[in-house]
Amino acid sequence: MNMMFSSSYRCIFALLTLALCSICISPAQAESPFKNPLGNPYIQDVIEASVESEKLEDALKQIRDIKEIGPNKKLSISPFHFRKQEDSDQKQEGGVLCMQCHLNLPHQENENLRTFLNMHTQFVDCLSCHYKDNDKSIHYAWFDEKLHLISSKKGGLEISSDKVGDETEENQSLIPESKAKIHPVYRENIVTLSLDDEFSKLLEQLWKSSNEEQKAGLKLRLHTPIKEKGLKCTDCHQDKQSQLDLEALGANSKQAFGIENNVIAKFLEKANKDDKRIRLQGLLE
Amino acid sequence: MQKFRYALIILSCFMFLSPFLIIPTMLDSPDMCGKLCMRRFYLYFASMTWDDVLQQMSVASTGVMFMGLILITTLFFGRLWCGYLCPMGGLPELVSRLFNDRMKIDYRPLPQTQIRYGYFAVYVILMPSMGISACTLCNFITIPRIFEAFSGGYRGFAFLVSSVGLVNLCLLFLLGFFANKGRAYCQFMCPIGAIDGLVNRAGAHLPFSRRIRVQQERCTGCKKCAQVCMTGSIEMKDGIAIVDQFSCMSCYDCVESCEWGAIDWITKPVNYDPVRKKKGVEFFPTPEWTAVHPDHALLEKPVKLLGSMARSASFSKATNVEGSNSQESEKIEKSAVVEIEPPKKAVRKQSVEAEKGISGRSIAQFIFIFLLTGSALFFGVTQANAAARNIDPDGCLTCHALTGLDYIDADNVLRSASINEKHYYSSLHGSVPCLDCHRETRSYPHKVENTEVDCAASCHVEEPSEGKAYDHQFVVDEFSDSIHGAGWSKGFTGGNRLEEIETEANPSCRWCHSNTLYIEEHKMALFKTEMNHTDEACGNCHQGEVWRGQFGGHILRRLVGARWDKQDTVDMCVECHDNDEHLADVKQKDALSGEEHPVGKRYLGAAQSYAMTLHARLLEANVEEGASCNDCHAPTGYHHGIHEDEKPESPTHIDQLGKTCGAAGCHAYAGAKGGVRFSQTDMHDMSWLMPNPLEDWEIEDFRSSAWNWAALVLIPLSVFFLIASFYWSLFIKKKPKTIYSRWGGEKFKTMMLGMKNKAKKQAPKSAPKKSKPKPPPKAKPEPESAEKKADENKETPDMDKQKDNKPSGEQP
Repeated sequence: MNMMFSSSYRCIFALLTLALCSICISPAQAESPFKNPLGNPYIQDVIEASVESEKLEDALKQIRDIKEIGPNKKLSISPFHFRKQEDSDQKQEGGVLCMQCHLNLPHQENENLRTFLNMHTQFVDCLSCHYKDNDKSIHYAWFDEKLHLISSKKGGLEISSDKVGDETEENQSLIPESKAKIHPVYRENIVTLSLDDEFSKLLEQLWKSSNEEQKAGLKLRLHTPIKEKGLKCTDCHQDKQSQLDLEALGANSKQAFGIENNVIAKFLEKANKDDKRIRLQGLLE
Repeated sequence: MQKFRYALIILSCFMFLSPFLIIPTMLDSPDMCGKLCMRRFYLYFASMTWDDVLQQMSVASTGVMFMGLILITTLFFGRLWCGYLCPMGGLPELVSRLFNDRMKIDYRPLPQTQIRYGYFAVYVILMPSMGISACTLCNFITIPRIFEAFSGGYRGFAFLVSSVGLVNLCLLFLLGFFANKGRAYCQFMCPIGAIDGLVNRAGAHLPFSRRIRVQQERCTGCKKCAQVCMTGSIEMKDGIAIVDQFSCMSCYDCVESCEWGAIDWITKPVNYDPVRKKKGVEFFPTPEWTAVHPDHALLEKPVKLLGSMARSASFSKATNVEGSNSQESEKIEKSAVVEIEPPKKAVRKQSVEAEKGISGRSIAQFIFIFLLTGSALFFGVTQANAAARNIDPDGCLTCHALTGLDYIDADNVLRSASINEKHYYSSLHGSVPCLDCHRETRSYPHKVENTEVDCAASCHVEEPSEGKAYDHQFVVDEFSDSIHGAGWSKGFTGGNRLEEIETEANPSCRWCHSNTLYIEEHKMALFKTEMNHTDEACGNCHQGEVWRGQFGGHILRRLVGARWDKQDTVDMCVECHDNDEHLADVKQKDALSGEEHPVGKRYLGAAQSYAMTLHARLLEANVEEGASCNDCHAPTGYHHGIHEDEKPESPTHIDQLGKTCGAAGCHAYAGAKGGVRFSQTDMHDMSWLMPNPLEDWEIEDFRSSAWNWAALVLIPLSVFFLIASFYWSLFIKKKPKTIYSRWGGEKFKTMMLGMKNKAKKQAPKSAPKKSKPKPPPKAKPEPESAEKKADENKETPDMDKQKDNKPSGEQP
């Protein structure tokens, strides 16, 4: 199936708009003219998504009440404790589609977990935890910021020797490069949608030219393969049936042990379970 | 005329000098340069730009205008300020006239133009380029100070006995009181005089300018004017007086002394080319008073001179008036043919070409440097990392040491729970466990109120010398007492930064302080070069980066200097005090009524006006002699006690200023009696900010400068002079002076002055009359000759007598 991408986006755009309009009118599934040449499962899910009208109203309300996050206010009082030299960028260049709206610190409401979850966004992609795999066999791999695969020796992947920082071998970080992240992979196709992808650009155009109702529909379709509450801490940080194949990701035995028996994960599991707050002294129990 | 001049000088002494100080008492500055006088040691400073020059000129703007007035009057009338008004030159002149000439040193043989402009160039160009102002040698300081000293002013006396003052006093005596005619200071050292001289000379060729000029056809070369000239600006060239317009002060002495009416204070004479009919005979020897500067005419054009001498010699030979004099004329001719060697040109030595190529020496240097750097690198690089100090008994850092624990809170503020472990251990609070400050934090998730920090709380770190638990209570007490006292000193959480900014205008502890390293990152490089062996020497054993950061910083800070230098302090204060948005919310309490009112212009402009001062400029140029905000506003104690000026204990209170300025060894005598004026110098002078002259001009601005008042008096006077001069030159014509000829009036007139005489026309008629009645009526010629004699005797006799004596000798 050859599509002439380069020729006229207007054609596609018009057709897709038509398709979406028909969606708004009727929840019937319309055939999308956009073919998924790379076989990205996420795109496939989005294309095949059906929009339910009950959810449409909620979506519409969300669109209307959207709160603009950032740019971050720099206060005249600087923090007492030194964090790092630069402020974290709200919008990263060449990022993934999710970050266009959700930025890179998306977790806000769960007081217990938000900081830890936001911390993971440094090296774990959104879709790694939030993708509804529907029993597809997903495995995970390191990709750099342009979504090129970083290979490692183990399991067919080679990890480059650039390490971050001058830590000892014990404390060495598992992250192969400075901005590498773990992305889900399905059948050798990365699930995550990059901003450079044609589909993303199309979406951008669509979004700009849509009215509120159309936007609501689009939003729903985009979030169909997304689960709101992602994986739990212990889904990965466990030694028996972890989601992540740490060996495949290039972890040596010490690193793997540290991740599987992560103290904080255990602690937070308790903190989430019990209603009463946990005393810090009970951290290591 | 001289009495008029002396009277004017004495009047100006009254006007400008103590104890009368008529002009300066109308404002508060007896210094002729106003505010700039006090800056005379600091007129030039590091980081000076052209803007500063303009700034200084604007400070002394009325002085500059006054100077302009002087120059304009000089252009039209000659150096009247110098000769008639200036008390600094006039006073020494008057005093020197009291002494006998024998007691005085004559400077007139010296080449005054060269000395004056050479010194001026040094004064204006060389010394400023080295950062020194020569103001201290200015008579404009010395003379007022003398008067002050003798009228009971401490400042004057203190100046005179200082080393600078003594030098000035010596110069005054040598160049003033005991100089011939008393104007040697003016001649050699006065910068205003130097500029004035330039204008005087430049304007001399203009037709409307009045200068002392010589009518060269009348000058006899008697050099009386040159002897009388108080500035030594008259020289004799080729027997004719010439006035050096660089130096002439139009004092009129010469005009009054010339018996020939050859010199006068006039506009450019119509007949400029000298038409001097001179017999080839010298009436008296060539003046011994030679020209002040080498006679370039002689040097450059010997042929021309020789030609003129030859012509005059031939003329003398032709007329052969006095045979004896022909020998003299020959001698003169010979003496005029002086072989003058042209000045030798400096021979340029050929520069020695540098050796090219690699020499053995350079190879040796290379090897040496290679070994040096190689060994340094070798020792520096081979380090093993040691374990960092761990003082986290409660395990907070298990979570908090992770990077990236950020989130965005409901107010859109980036919040971060990450703590950089290494940095913390190397920081000022590196020995303090977390819970010593965050006292109530016990459970997770942390309740916000439990994480509050009170800066005055004591932590469990014991101060090593006395074993007491350390706290910041004393600082907080000083701070609470101060003008910023409403700022928070406790209750700090990670989340209430925004709230604090929005609700409180006063700074809290954390506005200015955060948990930094012992030595700031950006200064670490500098400190390391100062103590450049810590990595290798201490680091050989103590190999942990954290240890070196903490301990090294601890030690270095005490050895090399305080953590905050003065510029950092200024930057910190300026963050709020130069931020108009922030200051708009600030309210001040009126001292009397207690009412709150928004702040005034002086408060808002405090940072800007300070930035213009020398204190700030020096700090900006990394010169530690400057003064930061704290050096004046909170120099003592813990430097947090800033109070409003009106409070008696405030260091900026008017009674405390002397002590404050004198603290830290800066201005040691500011606190002494007599230093009051110094310590009351306005550090936040709003006039530096150059307000909109139309909107913000106040009458005080006018009253505050001596020059304004002087101008008020002098402008009408000069206008009057201007008008009177025009009127005089147009409508009042000067009667020509009667000429006294010494050598037989009619003949002198015809021979010397080229005036055509009626007597000459009548001569041929009278001659035959003479010859005819010679033999018979001897009686007739007698009365005639007697009449002639009588006529002639009325006029001054000499040569004509000789002529007449001959025929009369024949008579019985």
